[in-house]
Amino acid sequence: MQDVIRKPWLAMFWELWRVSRYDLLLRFGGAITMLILMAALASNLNDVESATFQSIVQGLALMLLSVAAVCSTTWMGDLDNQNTGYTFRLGFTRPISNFQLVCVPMAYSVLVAMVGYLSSAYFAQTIFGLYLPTFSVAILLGWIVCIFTSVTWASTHALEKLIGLFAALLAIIGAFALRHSFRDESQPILLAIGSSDYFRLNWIEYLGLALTATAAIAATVQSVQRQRYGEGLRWLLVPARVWQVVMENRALTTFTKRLDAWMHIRNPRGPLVAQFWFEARRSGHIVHAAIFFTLLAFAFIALVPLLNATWGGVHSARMWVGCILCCPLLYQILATDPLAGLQRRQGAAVLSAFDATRPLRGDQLMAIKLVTVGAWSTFGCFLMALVAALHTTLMGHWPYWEALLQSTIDLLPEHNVAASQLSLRNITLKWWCLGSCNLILVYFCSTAMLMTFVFAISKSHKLFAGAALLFFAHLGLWAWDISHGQPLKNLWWCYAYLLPILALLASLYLVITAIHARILSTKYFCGVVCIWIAFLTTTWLISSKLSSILPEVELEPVVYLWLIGGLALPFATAAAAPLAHAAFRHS
Amino acid sequence: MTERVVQVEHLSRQFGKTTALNDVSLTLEPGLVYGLVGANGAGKTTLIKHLMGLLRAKHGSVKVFGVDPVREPVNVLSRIGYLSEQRDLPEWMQIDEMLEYLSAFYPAWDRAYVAELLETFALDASKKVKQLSKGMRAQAGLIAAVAHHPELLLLDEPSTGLDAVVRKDILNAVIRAVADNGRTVLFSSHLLDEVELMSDHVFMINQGKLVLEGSLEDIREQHQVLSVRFDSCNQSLPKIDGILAAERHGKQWHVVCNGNQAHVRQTLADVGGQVEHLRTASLQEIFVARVGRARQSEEG
Repeated sequence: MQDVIRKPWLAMFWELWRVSRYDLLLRFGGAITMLILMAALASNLNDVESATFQSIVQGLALMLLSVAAVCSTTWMGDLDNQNTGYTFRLGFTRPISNFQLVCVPMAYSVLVAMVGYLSSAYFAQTIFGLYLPTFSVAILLGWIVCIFTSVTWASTHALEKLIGLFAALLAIIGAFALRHSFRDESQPILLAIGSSDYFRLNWIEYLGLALTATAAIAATVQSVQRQRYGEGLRWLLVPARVWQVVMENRALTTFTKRLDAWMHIRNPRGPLVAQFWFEARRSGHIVHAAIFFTLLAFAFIALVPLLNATWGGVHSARMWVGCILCCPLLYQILATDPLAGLQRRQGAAVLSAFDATRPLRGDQLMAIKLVTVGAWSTFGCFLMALVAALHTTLMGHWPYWEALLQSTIDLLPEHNVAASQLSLRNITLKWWCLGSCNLILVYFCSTAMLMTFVFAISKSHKLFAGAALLFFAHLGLWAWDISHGQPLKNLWWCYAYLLPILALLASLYLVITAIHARILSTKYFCGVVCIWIAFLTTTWLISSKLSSILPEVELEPVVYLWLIGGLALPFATAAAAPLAHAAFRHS
Repeated sequence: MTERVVQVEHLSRQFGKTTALNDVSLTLEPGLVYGLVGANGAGKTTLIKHLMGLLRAKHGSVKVFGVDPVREPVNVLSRIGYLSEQRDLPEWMQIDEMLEYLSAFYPAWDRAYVAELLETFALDASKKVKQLSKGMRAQAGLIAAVAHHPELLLLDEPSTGLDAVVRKDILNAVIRAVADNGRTVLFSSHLLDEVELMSDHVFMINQGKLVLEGSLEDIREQHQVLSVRFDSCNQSLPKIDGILAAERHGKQWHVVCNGNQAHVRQTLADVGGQVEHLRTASLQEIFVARVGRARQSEEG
């Protein structure tokens, strides 16, 4: 290695590769997995008109791979508002020119985006016969990455960065929209972008891309030069000053001070309450996210009918239901990472000593984290539901909601007599409560799983990268198997039996290990058992009710095995989450 | 018999191929200030992390207040005050907020003492941690560590970032106050004059091994510096048991020795040396002699 790295720029390249390689593998692996699933789905849907369907798949594949390529670069890490300006500040102390400081990481980001897209596109072409545009899209992706990187590195103020990114995004979308309108396309955009000539750029367009990229790099080099000696290139002085004046406004200052005072902790009743307050404050950005997403959903649902006359109450009801159902998952994902409390230090994830030395047991800490995620999701969901209710009431859309729920129930098989008798109004409060209870338990279980995953992947990312590789290899094998008359059918059956048995054994091992290491206290363990019994009971009651109204079907023994494995999962995660936390707390 | 605050037996720890701790055994008694000295990477922080339960003892055993800190974190952590080397306090918190939050975990939290220390350090409690300098963070961390009058105070490089006045007067006073109340302090440092000033008992650790242990007085008594003069500049010093290190200054040698000095003096006289001066070795000299000797023997 020492023989190869003889130049500073090569050393920088190597450093960038070292810190991002697993992340890249996971991102592209994820994109290719999605591609495989799409291709598998496409092969099973033969009744759809093939040319149109092929275009849709190509369009979706293009978007998917483009997003994966653009997001696979270092600038994504700079989106955090805490950090402004140039990222690799360690480079300021090295004998490297400003030009190299900017261009080497930027070239790496651009190359990763381009190579990532090209390799995935060739993969899609070779394996699935999806012909995606290659060179021109790769150039465009490189250009987008260059622009976004420039904006994030050249801005030395959070507001500048926010405005810059927003403006860049608007400009890029605007440019695409303008180009699309000039092309006079008869097809919808999703179909159009799948065609091979859509992204064929002319020399003026290439020149435009080159000039804007050069200007962006030049501005970034200038800004980094100033940042190197402690100043910034304040390219948004006026808005920054306005922001400062607004923030210094007496009324606003009083308001923020009062808000701060209200959020202050005062004589906490005990360690658990104090810890809950701490976790809630730490993940307080969920409030902003909840308000933002609710307003976004409201703006979309309220504004679209003004632009599109065919958009009626049915669509609004569907959209609101979709938003209310999806938002807990979104807040769950957004809250889990900060609540895990891991910090990156010299490339490794660590739990800060402040977190690790709280005199609370690991299971208590974990339980508080889960409750906090639940509390934020409830808040976000309630906010969304409140706005939905207000909008629906004002517009008089409630009948559409009832029709929507009834139509969902009507999806049950028509030939079943009992199913046809099931109407929305016949579902008693008991069943609503049982259903909700079951959903809440599933939600907590999935949060614990997510938290375990965050800890585990941060602890042994190599193991996860290996497992991901194995998984992707199996997906490839599966796709090949389908297209070659399933010669590996027995292998998949073996897996189908083996995996739930392995899951059960792993669950048992986790619970025993956690109890033996005293990571699960008796009190917590009893609580987990009670919750698990509640989960099993509600699941059994609901499934027995459903089985009484659904037609009887013969189930394979393997299905029962998977059901047992699935039911053991919540119990296992209750032990796995504190164990994963302990792996960081006690190394 | 008083309960041992800490009992470490045959503790070893490896990180990959690096040996961080190698068969370390030690005990801490109540009411004493223990100094843990060693070069960078000697294993000081690793040892402290084991005492805190932040690392699980894989080889050997660690007992704090008679229990395993990993298996009983609540019991142990509620009786310990800890200042980490990283000073990693939550950036988004205000100092007063952080102290209020921490008070919930310790029933013996002393608000008056907190106010007194805030005033002594001249810290603005309404400031956020992210606005604090390195020294201010150390001060805030120190307040958080001592405010509940812990039975065991573990300070990992407490002087880092503190200015000379705070280090010499305030830190010493805080540590002494803890020890005078019958509680125990273990602090790690590579500033040997500071350890000499504050501690009653010293542990010297080098490359994961405990190379020296004892009360400061005993250690000083056992280590002496001899000044030996030879007639010729070319005269080399023979290998003598008890000499830890020797340094040549022309015809004169400065020799750090321990144990039986009469034997050393006699042997030096036998080879024509004149022992001209004798004094007690400083901790700095002992440390350099011990660590240098360990390195030489490893290289040899």
